[in-house]
Amino acid sequence: MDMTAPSGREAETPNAEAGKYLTFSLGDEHYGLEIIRVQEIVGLIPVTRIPRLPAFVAGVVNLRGRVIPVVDLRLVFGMPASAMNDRTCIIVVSLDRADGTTAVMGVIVDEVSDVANLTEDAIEATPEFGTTVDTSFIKGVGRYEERVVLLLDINGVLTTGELDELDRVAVTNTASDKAQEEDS
Amino acid sequence: MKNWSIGVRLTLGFVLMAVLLIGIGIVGFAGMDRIMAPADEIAAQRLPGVDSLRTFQAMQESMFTYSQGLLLEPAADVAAEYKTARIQNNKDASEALDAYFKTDVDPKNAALKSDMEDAWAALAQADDHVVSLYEQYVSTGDAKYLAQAKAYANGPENDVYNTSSEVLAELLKNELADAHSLMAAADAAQRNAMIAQGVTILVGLLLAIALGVVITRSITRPIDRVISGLTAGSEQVTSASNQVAGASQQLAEGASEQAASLEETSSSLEEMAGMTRQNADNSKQADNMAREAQQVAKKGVHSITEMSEAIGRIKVSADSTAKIIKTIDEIAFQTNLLALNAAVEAARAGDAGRGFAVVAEEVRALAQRSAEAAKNTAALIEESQISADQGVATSNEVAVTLEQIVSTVDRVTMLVGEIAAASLEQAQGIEQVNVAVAQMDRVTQGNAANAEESASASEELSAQARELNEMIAVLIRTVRGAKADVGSVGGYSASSVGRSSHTQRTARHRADQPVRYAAAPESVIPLDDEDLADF
Repeated sequence: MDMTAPSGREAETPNAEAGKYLTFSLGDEHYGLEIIRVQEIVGLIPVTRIPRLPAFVAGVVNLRGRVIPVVDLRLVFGMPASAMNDRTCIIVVSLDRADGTTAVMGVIVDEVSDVANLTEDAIEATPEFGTTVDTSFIKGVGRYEERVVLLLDINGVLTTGELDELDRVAVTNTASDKAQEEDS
Repeated sequence: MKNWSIGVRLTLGFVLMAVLLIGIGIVGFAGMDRIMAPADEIAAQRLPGVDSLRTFQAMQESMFTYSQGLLLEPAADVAAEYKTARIQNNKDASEALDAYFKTDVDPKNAALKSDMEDAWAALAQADDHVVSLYEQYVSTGDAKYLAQAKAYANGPENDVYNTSSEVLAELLKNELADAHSLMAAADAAQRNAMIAQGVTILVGLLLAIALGVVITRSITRPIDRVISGLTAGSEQVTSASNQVAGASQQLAEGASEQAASLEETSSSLEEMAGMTRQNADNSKQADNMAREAQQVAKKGVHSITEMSEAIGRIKVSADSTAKIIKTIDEIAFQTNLLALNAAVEAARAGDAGRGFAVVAEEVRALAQRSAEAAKNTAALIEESQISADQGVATSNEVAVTLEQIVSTVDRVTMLVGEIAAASLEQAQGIEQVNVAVAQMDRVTQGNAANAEESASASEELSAQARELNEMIAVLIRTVRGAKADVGSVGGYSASSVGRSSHTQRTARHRADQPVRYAAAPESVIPLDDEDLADF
């Protein structure tokens, strides 16, 4: 473990911009998501689990005829699985893929809080924790209403492999779209 | 003998003494008889026999005097006188001899008697021959005849005479020996009679003494026993009367104490009766109050049940309200979501969506406020639900408690009823005890009176014991004589008299006892102020 070696990540990671963020919470922590990335917020709807997938993939949902994969962000962040309740929401976000296409994905969060308008002053750079700690998915730290909001880079949250897994789900589930519609 | 009366014993004793006297007399008479038989023989036979023999001897001697006198050739008249005297003499001699033979019947002298008879006959014949020779001399005058006569007289006649004298001496000797032996027999008989008499008298004396002792003892011993029994009895009576006196005194004291105690008991019983009556009243009141309490508790149970139901209804209403609130909350949440989506849309729309964003913000604020209100209401409802639950639990507890109160009051009622009944019984019991105490009081007074009576009776008893002692003294004097042992008995009687006087004193002391007891402390311990001043 080389703690002293400097990282060249600073350049790669885009800094957070001032603007509107959708804030949500996982446990006691508050996170922010660029409003551009958010397509829709839905309440907890039935999630169909799919076997032989990584644990963080909660399954797929039928969102108005569209089958989209859903990940449990708590599991992605290595936290214990969320207890689903009436505050649990699925945030539908659009991702930029490496090949330039966009993908749609559902993210299960504990609670959606607010649409926050963060100014430049309210945004700090991501603090350095050392090379071994991967902070690529955090664009910055915002202050909002006495709270610290971690501003997420949704593209960095999932690795490429993970995204491929999700794509596979989306592909394999294309055939079952009709059946899912009939079920719901 | 034990069963015989004194009269029988005395009569028997005297009869036995008379028999003894008769026996002694018989023995004496028999002895006298045995003495008299030889004496009679001596007097009636031996002495006359000897006399006759002596007479015969004298005649035999005098015969010679006459025949020899004739041979000396006296004057004719003297010779005639001699002849006549000689014939008379010989005749007398034969008569004397015959008289002797008549008296003497001793068979051992039979031979001697015949010898004597023969000798006398021979002597008489010889003398006759001498005299006939003399006659021939006188008639013839021839001296030869005289000489023959003299020769014959000195010769054969003398021999015959000697023989006759010897036989006569033998006879006399025998007679004297017989008389001596008879005398000896008489002496022996006298000795025997004296010994027999003495022995008889001694035996009779001993028997009389023994009989006297036996009879006296047989009479005096029971009397002695009676005396000792009477003495002991009178002593016991004296001590018993003393004890009775003491006991009756104690009894009197005890009776008075008992009377005092009984009075206290009576008053205590009165108090107890009052308290018991009060207890009964109080228990009755307590019974009523317990019944009221039971009624109230039952009402309370009823009310609590109603209250429980009301609280249950409140809870149901709260549940419904909670559901409604939940619905409102969901609506608010959905509204919030919608507002958020609107905000997102507005943001994505950029400047064109700015106004819409404001509206969405407002809607979101409203949704959040309604959510907040719903949350508060839900909290309140939850609180009221909890309170209702607690109320139900509490009311249930209260109901249970009231049920317990009801059952407890039931038991209390029962117990109070029992207490009331027991108090009633107690009151009755105390009444009975009161009656019993009154009876005891009467009995105690009776006891006191009896104690007095027994005191006087014991006094009388001791007086009678004194009289008894005097009588015993008289009896002792009668039995043992004026001096013997009367002293000791007199001493005893004196002591018993002293004791009885003491008893009298005790009785008197008992009679005026309270006064003396009252006076006692000062007299016993004179604690005057002067005495105390010495200290």
